[in-house]
Amino acid sequence: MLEIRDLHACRDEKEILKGINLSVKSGEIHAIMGPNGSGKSTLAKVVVGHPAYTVTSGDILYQGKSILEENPEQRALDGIFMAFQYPVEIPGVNNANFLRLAYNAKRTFQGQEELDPLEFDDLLQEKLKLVEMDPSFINRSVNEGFSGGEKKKNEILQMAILEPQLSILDETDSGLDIDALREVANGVNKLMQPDRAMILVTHYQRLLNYVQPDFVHVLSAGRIVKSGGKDLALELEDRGYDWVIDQQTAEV
Amino acid sequence: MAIQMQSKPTVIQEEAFRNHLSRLQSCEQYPAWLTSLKQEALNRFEALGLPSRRQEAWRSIDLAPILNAQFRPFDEKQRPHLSQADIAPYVCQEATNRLVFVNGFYDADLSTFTSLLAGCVVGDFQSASRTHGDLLQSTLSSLVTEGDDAFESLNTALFGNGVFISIPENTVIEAPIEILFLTAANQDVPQFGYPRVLVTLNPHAKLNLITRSVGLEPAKSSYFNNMVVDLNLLEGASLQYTYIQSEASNAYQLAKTNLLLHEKSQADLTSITLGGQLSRHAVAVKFLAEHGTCQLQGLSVLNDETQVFDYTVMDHLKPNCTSQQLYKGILAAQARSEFDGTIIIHQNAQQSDASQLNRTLMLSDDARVLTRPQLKIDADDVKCSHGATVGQLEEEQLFYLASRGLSAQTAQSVLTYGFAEEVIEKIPSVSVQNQLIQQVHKALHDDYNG
Repeated sequence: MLEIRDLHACRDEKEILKGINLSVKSGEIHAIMGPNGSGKSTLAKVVVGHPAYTVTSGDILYQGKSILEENPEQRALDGIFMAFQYPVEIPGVNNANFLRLAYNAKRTFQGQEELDPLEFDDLLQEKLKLVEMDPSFINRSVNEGFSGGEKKKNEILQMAILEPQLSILDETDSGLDIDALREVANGVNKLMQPDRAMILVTHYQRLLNYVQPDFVHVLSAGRIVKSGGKDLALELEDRGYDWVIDQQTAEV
Repeated sequence: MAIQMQSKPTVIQEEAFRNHLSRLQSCEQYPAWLTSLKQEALNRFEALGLPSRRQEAWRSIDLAPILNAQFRPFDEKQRPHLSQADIAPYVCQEATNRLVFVNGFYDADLSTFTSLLAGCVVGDFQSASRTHGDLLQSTLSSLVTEGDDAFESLNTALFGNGVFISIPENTVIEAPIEILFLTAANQDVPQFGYPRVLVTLNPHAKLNLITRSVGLEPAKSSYFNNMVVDLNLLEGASLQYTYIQSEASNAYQLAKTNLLLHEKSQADLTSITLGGQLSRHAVAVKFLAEHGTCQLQGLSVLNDETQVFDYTVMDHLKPNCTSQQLYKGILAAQARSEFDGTIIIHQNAQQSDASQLNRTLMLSDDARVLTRPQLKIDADDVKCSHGATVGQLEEEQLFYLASRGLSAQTAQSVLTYGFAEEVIEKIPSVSVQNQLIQQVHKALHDDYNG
């Protein structure tokens, strides 16, 4: 589904990604871990086309085609979704209207008829239950005044409505208390299907107790320095990141 | 030398304008008291002279297009006959009482009245002068002030008909009262109107009022509306007032709203500017007694080469009053806006709580905004704040929407409307809110209607 080849990317002329290789197939959940500043969030943002980052070399193939020339809107319509680490507040824009606009943009792209507000509300109520979100948040401005946990749930709600093929969750576990973490993880698990794939970007192992990855990759200084199964996450939790990085440095 | 060369034509313009006005006057027959009141206003206008750019409140407005045009009064014989369908887009659906004026002339057929509570006076000046002549006289005489606004005096000197509202003590009018001033510039010559609205809320009365000045497109010529609204809230009275200006794109409007707040009275004013070539809305609020509150919010949406000037004076004359101001502007193309707002806290007005914020969203590099939030504080125990922001749409917000599959154009519309929404949502009428959403998009030449 996703093939990242020797990807180099920079922001403000500072190189952050220095040759990433990653292959994600349908049905797989990949965890990307690593210390702060290793480039985890940058990788997520580059895949969805954030304008602040420039790809200097390498390629990103999605379903066999390069998406480097596609803008963020096209990538979203193609089925790539990122749950933001810091969801953006949009005062004055009603959450339900925003969700309907996004859903209808996808319907139109797929050649289906748009849903009117009443039809969409049925869908919305169903998805709210799926992500265990308080319905009062849909009539407020997008993310405005939401707590950290509510913002993250709102991201998962968008994911539930848009049903992307590839979801990238950027530090979705950060800032969540244990109950909110469990609810968010439940939502994520319900949305995982054999024809979809997920990339979980996280600093800590705790989300992986709830959402079990098939592969774990450790990112350090813009490169994947180690890959393994879900046991690697447990080992990282135990021993920290230094031993992996030291091992890598020793090999170099 | 250069200065003399510049000032000379202005003098000629002013003379021509005044000569022209003296011909405009004397067209109508009024009772003696009104004739003398109007004469006083004309004298006052003469004494004040036309506003000059040396005056702080007028310094960035170029009045030449108004002074140069030989405006004539609207002619009743040429008034177009409009149907309810013609005015439907401008009608507040929740309003049960509506007064409609076309080119300054009261149109009884288009107006709607349903039963009002006993003692309420809601009518045009002509009918009110027949039924409540003494009350109209005393109200008009007391509200016409020795102000320093020449165009306000000009309105008093020249107004023909207008609206008189007086709500008795302890009376609550739930449904909005709407006043529509429609202008159909169907003649080749530029024309000149002077709408006037007088509102008194007696102690503990409550009212929701909407005025709209609407220019019907296409306008064959430019026109000039000089509008004045006087709002007098007695003890404990409460007013929600929505002012909407959607004049034709070649119209000029200079409007003044005077709000007097007596003890424990509350006012919530919303000023919306969507049309006109050049317009100015001055709002003067006076706290005449303690514990008054005033919320004042404005929204202007400008495109092409339109110019809007918002001018506010929040005059805290007495202690323990609260005022909040939020003025927002959305500027596209070569539009220009100015916000000039002053909060005055007098020496004895302790425990005043006053805030003021002007925010402008620039959609074009060629648009210009001038913002002057000002505080004049002579008391030492007060809470005051003021500020201004000018900016473009935020990149992170645009990216967020794009990452959910929204096109750049839709994302821009959503965010622009979101910016306007904060003011529009204050208007106590859902139908007017919905009409304004459409008008905001229309003003931005934008066909998005999500």
